[in-house]
Formats: sequence, C-alpha cells, structure tokens
Amino acid sequence: MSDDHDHEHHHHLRESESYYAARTKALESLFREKGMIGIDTVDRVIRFFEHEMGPFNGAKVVAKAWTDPAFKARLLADANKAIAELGLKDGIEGENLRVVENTSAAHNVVCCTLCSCWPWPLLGLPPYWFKDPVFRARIVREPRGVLADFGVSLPEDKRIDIWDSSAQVRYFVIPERPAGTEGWPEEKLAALVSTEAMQGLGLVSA
Amino acid sequence: MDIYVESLDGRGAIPRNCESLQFEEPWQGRAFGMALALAEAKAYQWEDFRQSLIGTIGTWDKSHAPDDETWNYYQQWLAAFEKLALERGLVSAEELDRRTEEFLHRTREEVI
Repeated sequence: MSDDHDHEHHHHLRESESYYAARTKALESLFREKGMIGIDTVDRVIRFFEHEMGPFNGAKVVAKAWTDPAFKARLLADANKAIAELGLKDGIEGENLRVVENTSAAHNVVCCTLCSCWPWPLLGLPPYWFKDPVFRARIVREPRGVLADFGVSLPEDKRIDIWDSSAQVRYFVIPERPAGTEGWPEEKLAALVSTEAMQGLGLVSA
Repeated sequence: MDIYVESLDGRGAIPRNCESLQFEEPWQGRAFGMALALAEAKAYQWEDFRQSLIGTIGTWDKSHAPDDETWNYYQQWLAAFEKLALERGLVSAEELDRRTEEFLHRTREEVI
C-alpha cells in the first residue's frame, strides 16, 4: 500500500467516524426528547457493565480462597452460596456456578460449546476469544496448543482437565497462588488475577 | 440486562479486551448503551434487536471478504439499531437525518 493510498484511507475513516458520532448523538437526542430514555440512562447501562459485573468480582473470590482455607472449602462445595457471603449475587436464575481448583498436579481449563455459560457476575462480559468457534473446537482437541497461544506452558506430566460448561453449570477456576505472595493482603492478591487465569487460560505470577 | 448481551454469539458477539468493554470511540459506547436501554424500556424486544444485528452482519458478510479491514462491529451495531428504530417508527428518517446534520455541522447546542 502506498503512502498516498494509506493517507486517503485514514482520511476516509476519520470522516466516517465523525458521521457515526453525529448519527449516534442524533438518535440519543431524539430518544431523550421523546422521553424514551433519561439523560443518564445510557451512562447507567455502560456503568453497570463496567463496574458492577466484571473480573474484579472473580478476582476478589480468588484472593479470599487463597487466604481463607475454610472459605475455599465452602466455595468448592457450593459456589453460589459462598460468593453470596462476599455480597456477590449470581444474577442469572437457574444456573449453577461450579468452582474447580488448579493444583500442582492438575490444570483446569473452561470452554463452552454454546456460548451461554460464562460466569457473568464474576467475570463480566465474556471476551471475544471465548466465543470464537476456532478456540472452542481447538481447546478440546489440542489444549496444550491453545494454552501455548495464550502464553501458557505447563509441565508435560501435569494433567489438563477441560470443563465444557452446559447451560446448567458454569465453571470458574481458582488459579494456583504464585510463590512469594505469603502474607499479602487480599486486595494486593486480587490485583494479580486476570480473566484468563480464572478460566484456566492464564497463570498468575507475582 | 446481562442476559441480553449474553444472547449475542458468533459473529454477533460483543468484542472485548481482557478487562473492559472494548470501545474504540465514545459513540460506540453510546450506541451499545442505547440499544440495551430501549429494550429495557420495552420499546422493542431484545430478540428483535438481536435479529436485526444478525441480519445486518449477514448482509455485510455477503458483500465483503472475511478479513476486510473496514469491518467495524459497532458500525454494524449502530446500523442494526437505526434500522429497528425506523421500522418501529420510534424515529422518522427525516428527523434523524436532520438532527444528524445539526450535530455534524455543530449547529446544535445540545451536549451528549
């Protein structure tokens, strides 16, 4: 691609961006005028997804499980009940959360063939890769290859368990606690935990 | 509301990076929020929006290569939302075009 072409291309993109911005404003302005949405409705929707349901909830659960063995036991036995102790609600009715724990012997990976079983209250919106058909097909067939794509390499003798969530059960992974974090407060531990780690596609390091 | 977003899958799934909604421009967030807010306000059923989105993306797919670099998820989202709003008579094409012009040429004082 020549520089000229490139320049032209970016110019067009900028032009269309201002059109889309104006179009969106026009729609919101009209819906406000007609009383169909309030002045803060759209902000509230975005805030809900960004701040109330997100991976920070899951990270809090992991940090608590790492520091409180009794809580971890309750979490593994009945996850929905245990997360309620932390003030987290499982908002989707009729679906159960199941927590599995990574250990030095076994690594858990979660996938979902129907795209309908992500643990929303703990992780917020599912990332794009989770719904990708290639990911879903490959993770079952060659988990080590997919893990390598995510930058995760596991010892050859470590067992990998794949959990294919159904509409009834959504899985959540407690990753292994990294060495050198003894005595860390929960908040500091929670900050280490990624969405990927809580689905078995990442490791936690300090 | 979370169930709405959850029901979007395959090509219709919402793009995201690890930690947050993946909006490249502010208008994308506004368009996202508006579509959900109007479903919540019962201006239409969420399923109607979902079908509009699937249809819009399907039309794009037919006329573009899969790796076409002009693909933009939220442009499809906005087009699907606009189409549904017009079909349902929530706004008229005339008032929408007129107001778009006003924002585009900065002749409207309203801040959104």
